Amino acid sequence: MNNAGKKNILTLALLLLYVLIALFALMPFGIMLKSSLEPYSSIVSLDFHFLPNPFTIENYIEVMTQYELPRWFLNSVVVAVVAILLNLVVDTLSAYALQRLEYPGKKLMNVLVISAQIIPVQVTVVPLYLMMVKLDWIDTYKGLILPVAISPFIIFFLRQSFMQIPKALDEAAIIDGCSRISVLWHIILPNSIPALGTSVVLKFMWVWGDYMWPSLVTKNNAMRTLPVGIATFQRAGGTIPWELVMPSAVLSSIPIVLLFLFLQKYFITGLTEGAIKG
Amino acid sequence: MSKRKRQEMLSAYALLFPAILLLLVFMLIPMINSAWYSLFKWNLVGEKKFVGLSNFSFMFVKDASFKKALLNTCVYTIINMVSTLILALGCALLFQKQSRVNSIWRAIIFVPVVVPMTVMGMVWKMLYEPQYGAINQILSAIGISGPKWLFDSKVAMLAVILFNVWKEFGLYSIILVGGLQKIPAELYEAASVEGANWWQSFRRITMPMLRPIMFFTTTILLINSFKAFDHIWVMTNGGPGNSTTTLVTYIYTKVFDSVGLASAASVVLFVMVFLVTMVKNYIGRDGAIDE
Amino acid sequence: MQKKKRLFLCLTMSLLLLALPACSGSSGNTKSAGAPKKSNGNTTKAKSNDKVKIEFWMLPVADESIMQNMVDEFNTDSTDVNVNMTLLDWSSGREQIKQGVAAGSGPDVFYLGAGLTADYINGDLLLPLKKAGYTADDIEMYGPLIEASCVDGELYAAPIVYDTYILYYRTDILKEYGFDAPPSTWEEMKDMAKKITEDSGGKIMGYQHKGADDQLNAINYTWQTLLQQNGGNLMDLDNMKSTENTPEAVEALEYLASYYKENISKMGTSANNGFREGKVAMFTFTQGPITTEGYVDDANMKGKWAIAQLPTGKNGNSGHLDGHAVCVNAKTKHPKEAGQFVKSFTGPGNVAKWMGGYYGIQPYDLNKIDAGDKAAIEKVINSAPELWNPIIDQGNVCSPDFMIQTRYGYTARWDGQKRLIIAALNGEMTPQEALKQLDTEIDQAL
Repeated sequence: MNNAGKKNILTLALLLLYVLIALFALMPFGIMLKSSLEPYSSIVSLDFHFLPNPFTIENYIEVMTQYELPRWFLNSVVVAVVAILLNLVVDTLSAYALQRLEYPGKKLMNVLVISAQIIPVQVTVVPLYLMMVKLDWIDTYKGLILPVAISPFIIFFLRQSFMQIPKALDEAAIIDGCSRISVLWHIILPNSIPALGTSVVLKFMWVWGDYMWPSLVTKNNAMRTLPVGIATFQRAGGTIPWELVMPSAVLSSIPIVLLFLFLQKYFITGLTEGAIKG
Repeated sequence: MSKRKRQEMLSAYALLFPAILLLLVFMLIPMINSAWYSLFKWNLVGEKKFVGLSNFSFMFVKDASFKKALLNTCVYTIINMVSTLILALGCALLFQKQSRVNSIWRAIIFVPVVVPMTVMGMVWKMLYEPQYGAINQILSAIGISGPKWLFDSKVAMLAVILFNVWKEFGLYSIILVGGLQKIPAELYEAASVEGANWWQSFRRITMPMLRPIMFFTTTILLINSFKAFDHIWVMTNGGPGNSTTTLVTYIYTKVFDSVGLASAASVVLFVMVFLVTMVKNYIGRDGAIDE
Repeated sequence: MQKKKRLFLCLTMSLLLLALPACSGSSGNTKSAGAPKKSNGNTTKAKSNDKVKIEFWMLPVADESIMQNMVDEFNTDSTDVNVNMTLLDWSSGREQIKQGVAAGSGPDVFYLGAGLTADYINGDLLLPLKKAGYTADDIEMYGPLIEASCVDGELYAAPIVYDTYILYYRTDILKEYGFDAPPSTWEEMKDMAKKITEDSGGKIMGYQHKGADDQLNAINYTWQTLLQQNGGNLMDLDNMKSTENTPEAVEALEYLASYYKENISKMGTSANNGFREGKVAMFTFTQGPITTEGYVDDANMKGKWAIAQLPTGKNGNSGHLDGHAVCVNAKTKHPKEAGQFVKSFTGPGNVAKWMGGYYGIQPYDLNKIDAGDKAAIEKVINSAPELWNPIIDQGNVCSPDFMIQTRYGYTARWDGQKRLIIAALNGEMTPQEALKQLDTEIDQAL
C-alpha cells in the first residue's frame, strides 16, 4: 500500500476514534434527554427507539409542580452561590497570606492546610453530623454551607498560581504606599483570573453535585438539595420513576454545564497550568 | 520584632483567621472527634460506652463484611485506576495539539465530569437495566445477550467502575494534555530526524517527561478511588449482597446505628489516605511544592 | 494608621461573611412538606388559643386526605384539644421522629412500628398508654397481637393496622399448567413453580421471592417468614444473642437459595411487574401491592389473580407480621389530651376508614367492640371477601414473637439481611457463612 493509502487509513481510523470517544462521552446524555421527553411506559418498553416516542413534556411539568424539585433547585443554587462567594473570599485571603507574606508560624499554617486537605470528608462526617444536631443546624442553610465554605485544595491551587506572579510587582506597589490588601486586590487577583475561574467551576461542581453531606444534614424534604432530592425518587416500592428522574437529571445538569461552557477557556487552561505545579 | 514585621504578622493572621476557624471547626476537630468516637459503642440515642479498641478488632477479625469492603475497595481502586489512566492518556495523546477541533473535543469529554455524580449515577442505573436499559438493548441488537449488570453480583462492581471511568476520564485527560503540551517540540523533532517511530518517541520522550504529572494523576486517582461513594450508593447501595460494598458505604450504613464502628472505619480510611499522601510526598519531593 | 484600619476592616468583613448564612434565612426546623409529593398544606383549622395544642408526626400509612380527615374530625369534636399533624415520608421519617423524640423536643404523638424498638424502650421515650388515659377496658378490646406493643405487661403503642404476608397467584397461569389451587406446603410451592418455569421454557417464572427482585428491602420479610415457618428464631431474648445461624435457619436459607440454584427463579426480575404482565406466576408479599400496584383496579388482570394464605413449612404457616402504630412521647406536657387523640385516631370508630384505604388487619377483637363499629367493619370485609378473608385468616395464624424479637438490633439485622441473604442467594457466600456473619453483625450491635 502506498503512503497516501496508508495516510487515508490512518485518518479514517483517527476519525473513527474521535467519533467513538464523543459517542462514549455524550450518549448517556442523549438517552437521558430522550427519556425525559417520553412517558414511563415508553422508557420501560422493550423495543428500542432513538427518538422520544411519543414526545411529551408531561414529565417536566409533573416533576416541577407535583414534587419539590423547584425547591431543591433553589436550595442547590443558594448553597452553591453562597459557598462559592465565601470560598472566594476565604481561600484567596489564605492563599495570599500563605504565599506572599512572611511571618513566624507560616510553616505551621501550611501544615494545617495540608492536613485538612488530606482528610477525606467521610472521615469527619460522623462528628460533623453530631455537631449539627447539637447546634440545631440540621435542615438549615448554615449546616449546608458552612462546612464547605472553605476548600484546602483551592487554597493550594491559588497559592500555586500566585507563585507565578513576580514578587517584584508587589514590592513596587508597597513602595508606592499600597497596603497588603491593596496589593491583593489590584495586582494579584487581576493576574489570576484563569485560576479564579477554575476555582469557581471546581467549587460549583463539587457543591452542586455533593450528595453525602447534604443527605446527612437535611431530613426535611423542603431543605434537600438536588442530588439528595432526586435520589429519594427511589420509592420503597422498588420501581424507580424514571419519568421523574430523567427530567430532574436534565434540569440539574443544565446550570453546571452552562457554567462550564461559559468559563471553559479559563477553566481548562487553569487546570492544565495548575496541574503542572501539582 | 520590627514594627514592619509585626504589621506583616498581624496582617497575615488577620487574613488567615477565617480559614483557620473554618478548618479547625469543620475539619480538624471533627477528625480528632472521629478518632475519639471510634473507642466507644454508641447508637446516637442511648449512652456512650467505652470499648477501647474492640471496634477495630471486631472489624479486622470477626467482621467478614468489613474485610470484604476493604477487598472491594482495593479491587475497585486498581481496576478504576488502570482503566481511567489508559483511556485518559489515550485521549490526551489524541487531543493534545492546539486546534479548534481538539478544543471542542476536550470540552466534550469534560462534560461528564461536571455534571452531578449521583444524578448521572441514576441515569446509568437506567442504562444498565437488564430488560429495557439502552445498553442491553444495543447489545441485543448486535446479537449479544447482556448480563444483569447491577443485579448480577459478578458484574456489578465492573458496572460501577465503568460508570466512574466514564465520569472522570475527561478530567485526567485534560490534566495530561497540560503535561503533554509542556514537552518541547524540539525533542520530538530531534527524535524523528534520528528515525525514531511513534512508539519509540512515546517510550523514550513522552513517558519520561510525563512522569511527574502521571505521578500526580495517579495519586489523586488513588485517593479518589478509596473515597468512592456517591455513585456506588445510588446505583447499588453496596449490593447485590456484598459485591459492591466499599469502605465508605460501610461507614455510611453504620453512621446512625453504630457510631463507634463507623468512626473506626473512617479512621482506617484516613490512615490509608494519609499513607498514600506521605508516600506521594516522599517520592515526589524533587518536584516540591514549597517555594 | 491606614494599615491598622484596613486590618480591622478585613477582620470584621470576614467575620461578617461567616455570619451571613446565619441570617440568610434558614428555613429552620419547619417540618411542613411531607412525602416526596408536595403536600397541599395542613388543613387544620386554627382554633381558639385556649385549646391544648398537640403535635403529631405521622407517616403515610393511608392516604393523607383520609388521615387529615380523621384529625379534623377529632379537632372539631374536641372542646379542649387541637391536633396539628405533620406528614413525613417513609425514607427518612422514622429517623426524623427518633431524633426529634430523643432530643426531647419532639412531637407529643408520633408514628412507631407496632412492635416498638429497643431504642425507644431503653431510652424511656414512650409513655405507657395507661398514663395517657387508657383504661383496662380500652386495652381489653384488642386482639392477641397487642402483645407485640407491650413491654412487661404495659401497653406502649396503639396499633392501627397490621401487615402480613400473603400468597399472590395468577389463576390463569396456574390453570394453564394444570393447577386449580394454590400450593399449601413448601414442597408443593417449589414443585409447582418448577413445573411452570420449565414447561413454559423459562418464559414464565413460576415463583419469585420478593427481595430477590428489584425491591431489596423486602428480603427481610421474605427471609423472616421462611425462617419462622421452619422453626427458627431471630433472637434468644434471654441471653440477648442473635440466633440466625441454627440448623433450621440454614435449612430455610438453602430452600430459598435452591430456587435460584435450580433456575426456577431469576434474581432481579420484578415480582410486582412480572405478576401484572403474566411473567411471574406466584409471589408472596404484604397486602400493599393490591392497592399500590393497582392490581385491584387493573382491567387487564380482572379475574386472573387471587390471594391465599401462605404455604406451610415444618413449623406452620405463620409469617411476616408487622404493624403501624401511634405512641405518646414520655416527655409530653399533655399526656391526657394526647391520649384522647390517640384513642380517637386509632379507635374502633375509625377502623372502617383505615380499612377503606388499605387492606390492613385491624387490631381489635370484633366481639369486644361496639356493635355499630363492628357492623361497619364487617361491611367492608363483605365488600371484597375474596381479598379480606385470606388476609384475616393469615393474620390469625401469626404470632407476635418475631415482632418482639426484631425490637433488638433492628438496624443491624435489617441492613445485614439485605446484604447477606442476597449474598447467599447469588452464591457469593454459602448459607452457613452468610448466617454466621449475620449473627456476628447483629451481636455486635446489641
